[in-house]
Amino acid sequence: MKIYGIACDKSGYPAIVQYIASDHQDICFTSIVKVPCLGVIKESEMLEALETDCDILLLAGCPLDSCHNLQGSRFAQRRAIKVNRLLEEAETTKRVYLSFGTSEKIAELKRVLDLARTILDKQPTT
Amino acid sequence: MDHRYQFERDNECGKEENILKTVCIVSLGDTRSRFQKWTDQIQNYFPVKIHLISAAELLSQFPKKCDLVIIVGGSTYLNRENLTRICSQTGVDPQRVVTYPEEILPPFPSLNDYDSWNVFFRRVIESSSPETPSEAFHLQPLKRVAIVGKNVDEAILNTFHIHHLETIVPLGSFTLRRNGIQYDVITNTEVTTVGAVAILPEFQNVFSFNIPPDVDETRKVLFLKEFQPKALVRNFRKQTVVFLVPEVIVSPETWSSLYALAQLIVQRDQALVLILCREVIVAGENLETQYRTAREAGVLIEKIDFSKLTLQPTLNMRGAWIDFITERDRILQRLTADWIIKVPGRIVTPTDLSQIVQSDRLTNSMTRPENINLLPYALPLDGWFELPDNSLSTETQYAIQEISNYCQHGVWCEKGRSTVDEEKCVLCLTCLRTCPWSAIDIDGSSKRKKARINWEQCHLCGLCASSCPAGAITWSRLKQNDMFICPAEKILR
Repeated sequence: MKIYGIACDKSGYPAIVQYIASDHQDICFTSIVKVPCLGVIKESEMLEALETDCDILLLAGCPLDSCHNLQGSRFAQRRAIKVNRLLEEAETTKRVYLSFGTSEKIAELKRVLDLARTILDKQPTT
Repeated sequence: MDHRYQFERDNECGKEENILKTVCIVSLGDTRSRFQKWTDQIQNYFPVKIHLISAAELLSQFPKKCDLVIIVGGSTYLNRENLTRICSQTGVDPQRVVTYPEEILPPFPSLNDYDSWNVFFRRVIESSSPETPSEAFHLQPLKRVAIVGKNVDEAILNTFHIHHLETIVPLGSFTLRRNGIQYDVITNTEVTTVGAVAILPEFQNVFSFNIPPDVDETRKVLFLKEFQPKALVRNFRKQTVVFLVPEVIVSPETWSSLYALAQLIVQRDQALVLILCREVIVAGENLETQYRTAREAGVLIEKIDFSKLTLQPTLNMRGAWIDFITERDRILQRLTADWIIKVPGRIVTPTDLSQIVQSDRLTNSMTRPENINLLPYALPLDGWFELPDNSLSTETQYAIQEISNYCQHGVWCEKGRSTVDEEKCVLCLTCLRTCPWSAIDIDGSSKRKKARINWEQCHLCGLCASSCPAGAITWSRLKQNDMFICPAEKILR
């Protein structure tokens, strides 16, 4: 599974780096973009990222209720839902996944990626 | 594709021969020797001059002229605040700084690892220089703290003075106005500027377990405060006294008096004393010793589930039957209590900041979030702290220490990172509503007002730029440099 990761520099980025460092060989991040807050990612940028060679776009940020910039994670969530709706309409298998955790709790990231892999495996190959 | 050979071919063709950049690699973890092999091999492929320094050498060894700075360190340290601090100390344009996480660089690299690092390095040195320069700067708040709250303990004020912080306790009606990172305390007579604001919590006594009315009618149900004077004069020989503590947050002073009272009744009157609680608190000055001596004296302390606690009056209406399930063995137990004593807990009453703070939207969201990136007692606004207690406990001392650290170290900001295009700004006020730090001001003449970013308050989150519907706010070099391809891709290949 090829993943394009966008992460906030407070929580998401350390979580992804910890996850990669713990050596999950079946996961491949094509690139990881570090942003100050997940709320800066617009819908157009998400779609741009999905155009690259990747299976899913992963947005990793602070927990929803304790985002460092108060509303950043909620903005990202709202925009990701919009983009996923567009992707559904376009009948593509690519999706945006959200993971709100910290570097101490990479289990949340693992859960999201496992879910993504399960859904991708169920998709018929075209 | 093997990037190593691609670089060699590029060099042979002379594509990069005229470009000589000075790159400073800062190792935040002070593990310079570990990175030596990573930097040594770079110079075989790239026409660059490398300076490798550690965090300790940042001020003394930093090169005077430097095209690019790569900061290598633990991923948790590579956040915007830390980078701005480094830029401010070294005088580097923050847009010339890129980061690479230390965790990705193994101590014994293979060729694939070098490839990944070199791909990143190539992208970094090939990136264009910033169009408009930006600047990182340091702001020092005043060493004066406004304490907002009623009945401020003298010991708390003294502790502030020990930390060389001047304190003011505004009395009567006053308002607070933001002034950069400082705050103006405005009273009827004068305006005083302070560097930080500490809010003293107000507590309210609460007892959440509902005593049935028929049990209440037995007149054997009392609050701890009512029972205390009675306990000193009355004899409870062969009686059963049950203390109910349904709250988790109970002050250490209450626990202390509870242990002492229970011990007194047992030792003096040989009464049966049972404390039924949700949580036992022993953390506090002398509290554990008191707990032990009370247990040794014969006081029974049980943690129970209060949702399964039932009370019924006895037939002679001189006491109550209590059914409870202990957390220890999950067995239903019944006893007859002659006295039921209610021990209240306390909850924090939030201070109404909207009455105090002048025209600041942030006051609505000023609750303490559980974010590891914030200081432990800080509210989500620079210089605002909430003390955990209104007496001088150990936790309060830690909080005062945090305030002292904040006043000493100050904050680091960046100037010029984002720009507002006056022509495009339609004054929709979306940025004003979106900015979590309230750093957008509306400026200009009455005819042509526009949004302006207040650099002192800006935390560089970029939310304003992403939400501006007119595209008037632009961020320079927001993300293209902080990108790397992880080695996992190479493993899959």
